Formats: sequence, structure tokens, C-alpha cells
Amino acid sequence: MSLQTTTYLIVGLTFAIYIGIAIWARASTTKDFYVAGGSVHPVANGMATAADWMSAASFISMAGLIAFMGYGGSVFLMGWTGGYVLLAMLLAPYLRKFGKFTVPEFIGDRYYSKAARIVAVICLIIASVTYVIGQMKGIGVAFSRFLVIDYDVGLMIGMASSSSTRSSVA
Amino acid sequence: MSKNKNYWQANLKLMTICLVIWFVVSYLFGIILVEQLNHIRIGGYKLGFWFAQQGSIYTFVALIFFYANRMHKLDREHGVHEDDE
Repeated sequence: MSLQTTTYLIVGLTFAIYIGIAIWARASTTKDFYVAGGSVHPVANGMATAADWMSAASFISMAGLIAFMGYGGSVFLMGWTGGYVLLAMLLAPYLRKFGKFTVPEFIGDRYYSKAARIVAVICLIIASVTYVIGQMKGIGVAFSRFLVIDYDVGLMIGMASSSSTRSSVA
Repeated sequence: MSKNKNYWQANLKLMTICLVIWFVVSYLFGIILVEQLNHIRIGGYKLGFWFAQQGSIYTFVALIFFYANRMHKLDREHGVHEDDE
């Protein structure tokens, strides 16, 4: 079996498993979607968060940024992990006690303000778009390399696989 | 009511300590004082650069564990913990 066939086989199999899990464990309500019915062990939950941190954006895009920019790239590095500290101390415990699932929802209710909620949404969109650009570029490059296809096709495959797994996060 | 206040005071104190450390290792050592710290070399690496690239991240991870641990204890002391173990 050639390397090419092996690669296709492994990638295909992985996708099949992901899609299978996605169908099997479909989250039916918002609560199920975010907290998986409260049945996820803290360690497993932490592992999921860690997997999020060690994504294509950190492995490929971040490494590239630092190789390219040198010291200037360290602001991304500090912000990346430094943000987790702020999240762990200032938001996560209260979000949990409040029983809300999204940060804008929490901020809007906590400060009794639609404006605060909108500001939170804008921040969220800016941050996640920046992140997703890095992520998608990384996925496209990775898939185009090891499936030996065009960058655009690789990106499509990557997006399809990630959206099918995202629907099964729960 | 004062019990709640004590809990919140202790919480704020812990949070302030952690955030001061957070600020010092990233903004102060990693950005503002980077030139001065770069004169010091440890194991061949410039100290300021090391803080920006690695030191701050190690500290962040340690901070999260420290905070979670202390908060867990605090929750127990004030009887507001959620797990029954």
C-alpha cells in the first residue's frame, strides 16, 4: 500500500468516526450542547479546553508568526495564555454560578444593560474572527500538504470535518 | 450577610494578588522592562525575551492552578462548595 493510500484511508476513517459520533451523540438542547448534560468529568473537560488551545492556530499559525516576527510575536503568545488567566478568574466562576452559557448573555444580565451586551458581542466577534482566520489557514495548509491537494480543497475538507465535530462537542 | 462579605473580601484579595503577578510577568517583564532585563542573560538567553516567550506562560499556568486550588479551599471554608466529597 502506498503512502498516499494509507493517508487517505486513515483520514477517511477518522472522518467516518467523527461523523458517526456526531450523529450518535447529537445534542438536543442548548444546555446539552454547552455542558453535555453536566456529565463530563472535570478532567475530560479540561482536556477539551487544552485541545482547543493546542489547535492549528497555535501549532501552525502561532509558530509561524513568532518565527517571522521574533520578539514582536510574543504579544500574541502572552495574550493567548494570559487571556485564560483572566477567563479563569474573572468570568468562568461567575458564568457558572449564574447559570448562563454565553459571555454576552452573562454580561448583559449582570449589568442590566443592552449596550454592555452589544460591546461584549463585538469583542467576541473580533476575537473569534481573528482566531478563525489563523485556524482556517492552518487547517488549509495542513490538509493540502498531507492529502497533496490544492489549498482551497484542503480548506473545504478541513471545514467540513471541523463543523461535523463541532456539532458533536457535547 | 457578613459571612458573605468575608467570603467576597477573601475572594477579591486572592484575585488581586493573582492579577498583580499576571501583570508583572507579562506587561512589566515581557514588554515594559524588556530592554533592561535583556542585559541579564540566563543560560545564554536574554531574560526579557525569555519572559515574553516562556516565563510569562509558565507563570500563567501556575497562576491558574494556584487560583483554582485556593478558591476550592475558600469555598470549603465558607461552606459554599458544590461537590459533596
